[in-house]
Amino acid sequence: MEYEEEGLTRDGLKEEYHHAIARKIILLTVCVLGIVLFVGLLSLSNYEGVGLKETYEIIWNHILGNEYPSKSLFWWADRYIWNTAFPHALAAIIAGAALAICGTMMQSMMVNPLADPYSTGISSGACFGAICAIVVGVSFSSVTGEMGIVTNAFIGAMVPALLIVFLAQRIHMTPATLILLGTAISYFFNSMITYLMVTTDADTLQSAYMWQVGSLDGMSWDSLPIMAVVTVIGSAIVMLLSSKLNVMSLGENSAISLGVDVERFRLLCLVLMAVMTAAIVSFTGIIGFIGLVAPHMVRLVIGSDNRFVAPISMAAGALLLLAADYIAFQFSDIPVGVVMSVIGSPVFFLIILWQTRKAGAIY
Amino acid sequence: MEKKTVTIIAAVVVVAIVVVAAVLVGFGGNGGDDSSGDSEIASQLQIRGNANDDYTIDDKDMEILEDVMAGERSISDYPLADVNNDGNVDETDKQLLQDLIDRKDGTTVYVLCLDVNGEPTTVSCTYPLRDVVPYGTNIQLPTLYANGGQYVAGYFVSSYETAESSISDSAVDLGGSQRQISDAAWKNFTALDANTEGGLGALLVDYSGIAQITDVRAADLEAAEIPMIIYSSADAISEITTVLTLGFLFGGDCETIGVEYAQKSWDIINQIDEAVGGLSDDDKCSYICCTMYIYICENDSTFNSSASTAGGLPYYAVNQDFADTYTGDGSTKMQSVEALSNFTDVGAILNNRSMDWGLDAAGIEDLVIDTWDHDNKGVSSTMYFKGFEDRLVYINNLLPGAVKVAYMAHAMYGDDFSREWADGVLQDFIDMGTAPLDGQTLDTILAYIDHDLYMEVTA
Repeated sequence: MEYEEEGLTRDGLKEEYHHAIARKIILLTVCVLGIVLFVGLLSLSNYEGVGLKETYEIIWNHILGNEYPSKSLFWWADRYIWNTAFPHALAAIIAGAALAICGTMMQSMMVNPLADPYSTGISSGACFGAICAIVVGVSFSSVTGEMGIVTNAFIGAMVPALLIVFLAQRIHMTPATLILLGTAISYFFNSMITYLMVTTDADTLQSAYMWQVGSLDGMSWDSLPIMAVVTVIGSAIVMLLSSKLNVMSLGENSAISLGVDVERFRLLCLVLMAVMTAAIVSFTGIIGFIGLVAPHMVRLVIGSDNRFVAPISMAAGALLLLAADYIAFQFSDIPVGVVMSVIGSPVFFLIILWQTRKAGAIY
Repeated sequence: MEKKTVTIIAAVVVVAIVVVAAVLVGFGGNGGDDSSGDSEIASQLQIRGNANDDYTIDDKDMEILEDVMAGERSISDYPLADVNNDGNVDETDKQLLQDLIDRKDGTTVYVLCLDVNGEPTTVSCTYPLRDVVPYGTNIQLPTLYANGGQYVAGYFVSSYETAESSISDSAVDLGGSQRQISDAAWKNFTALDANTEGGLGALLVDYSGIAQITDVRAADLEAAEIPMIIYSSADAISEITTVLTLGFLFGGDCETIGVEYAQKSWDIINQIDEAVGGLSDDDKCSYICCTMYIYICENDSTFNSSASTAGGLPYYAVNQDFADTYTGDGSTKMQSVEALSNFTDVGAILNNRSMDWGLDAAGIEDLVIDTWDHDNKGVSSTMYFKGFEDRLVYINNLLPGAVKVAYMAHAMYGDDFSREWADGVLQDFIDMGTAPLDGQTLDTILAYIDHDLYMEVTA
């Protein structure tokens, strides 16, 4: 009766509820279908004579253990699909999903629409670690080459995270303090990075810069287990915490009044986000905008309930990165990080304009 | 005078003229097309079967192999007598060597090169080598200098339209870059192998680009049985060996030109060595090598190796500050216009710049000015080299190694090696008919820039 007094009938509410559910299902379906489409496109492209039907045939034959004549087009296509395209596409899906869910968590936890997984200086720390390995040849592990860089980047990423966690236990940490600390840490690491990069030779500079920009090139099956395990476990925890994230996004005071131990919860989120982001960027380099844009895109369609935003953001992030990767692949030498920035900035701009017209909070 | 006396005098004069001409042609430095020139070719053909470690495979190698088989010589002294790299020298090696001596098509050749870790290894390929894909300028140009452009099926990058026209006009562009083979480019490589009858002959890799051959790609090559021939051939001496070996592998005219290239190169190197090799360090000209306008080559840089071949004394050997500052094998960007201010006693600054050819007079002038006055993010190169103008030269890095060495020798020892002499060396290589220089003249190639030339074009 009260609803009817407010102009909302029971049927109207039901209809609105069904619309909301439908929007979520449709968005998730679109993202999943998009992922399937782009995985297919990444597997197919450029082998003349190997179309969609043949690609499925190759995959099926591979599963059955049937082999093609050595060095034939189908033989190469089989090797390409299993050794390059699939790990490449899976890396894009995992990285996109992980960065997107971290972005969702950060924006809700910080109550800040501009927060993303890199806001606490993790990317700068990872970059510094990687560039130490590339430019100076200093590695935290005895392993050299690609895995040496990965180890360095991971440890470098954990330095700002641990610093913030350490400080959080000693001072009262508001979202603004966190962002400011992250900015200060970023400036520090960026200055060190700049120093290392201006004093090195052109070839090393190129390698360092390529890492900094972010790329999925050269991803192999060996790269995936760590990324996948950390992402799956981390995402499961974030989804379990999503109700609390909803409360956090109402603001610190509201969260406290609703019984949330804000500081402890924030600390938990920070550690979770740091480990997940570090596990991704240490393999891919710094791929920007996913963590910022994907959650906003999803909220635009389905609203701000993190129980749904978190998983659907993962699908949207995976789709976004796969699409960017496909575009990068078409242009051969453009790193995916560059394409992501080219796509991400105007998309973010449009989201802001759209949201402003609709006049609502964007987190 | 009697008719008979006149005839005798005329005959003597003719013989004398012929002898003098023969002496001049045979021993007169740059002259002559005969590949059996004055100097010994010190480069060793990197092919198993080259038992005597010289520049070719011939009957002399067979004699050694037979001696090893007979126990008269030891395999440890002649390891390349083991033609098929199985640890023994037997009838199989003998037959294989005979096939190599006969230059028989389809023979399996065992090539000495580097592995992905930079260690010496042996890989096998089929003679004559066809349908290759080079990666890296330092292997691409030697491939072309051996006239192997016609056998290049695909390339990852071609930055010099004229110098590399023998591949870019006919081979497939696989879409890589100087420093990266993307997944897309590698996919194009695999498609090229599938579409090439009999598959690709080999991937030729410059060791500086080895990071692009990831484990997955190396596994692809192994599974497809595509040999990967890796060389580090940035300095002049290594480049000669690479041209010689690739020339042999391509066979026919390529082998001839490879040997001629090596012969001429060693003629030049020996000529320089004879003139200045015996100088004491005090009398030698010290040098600093630079690249990319304002990058100082570090102590172990291959640019320094080439300059030392030209008779120079690396500056790190005479200045400890410099030696301590520029350790390594790459190059370091000058941090300020005063980066060279503590090294004013250096004898020469040899700046290496890759410049395509096929230029007209206006193009040459523009390139001279662009090089000398190059803008380095708002600061002209002239500021970095202020006070060194009379000792600064730019040498075209695309030229054959021996030509670069000749221009370096001229820059450091102008009294011994004139500009005309260095130009003559370049002319010799142009006349040789090696593909990258085909159709060029001294007027279409900007080989050497010094202050005089800069003043001339800006006057």
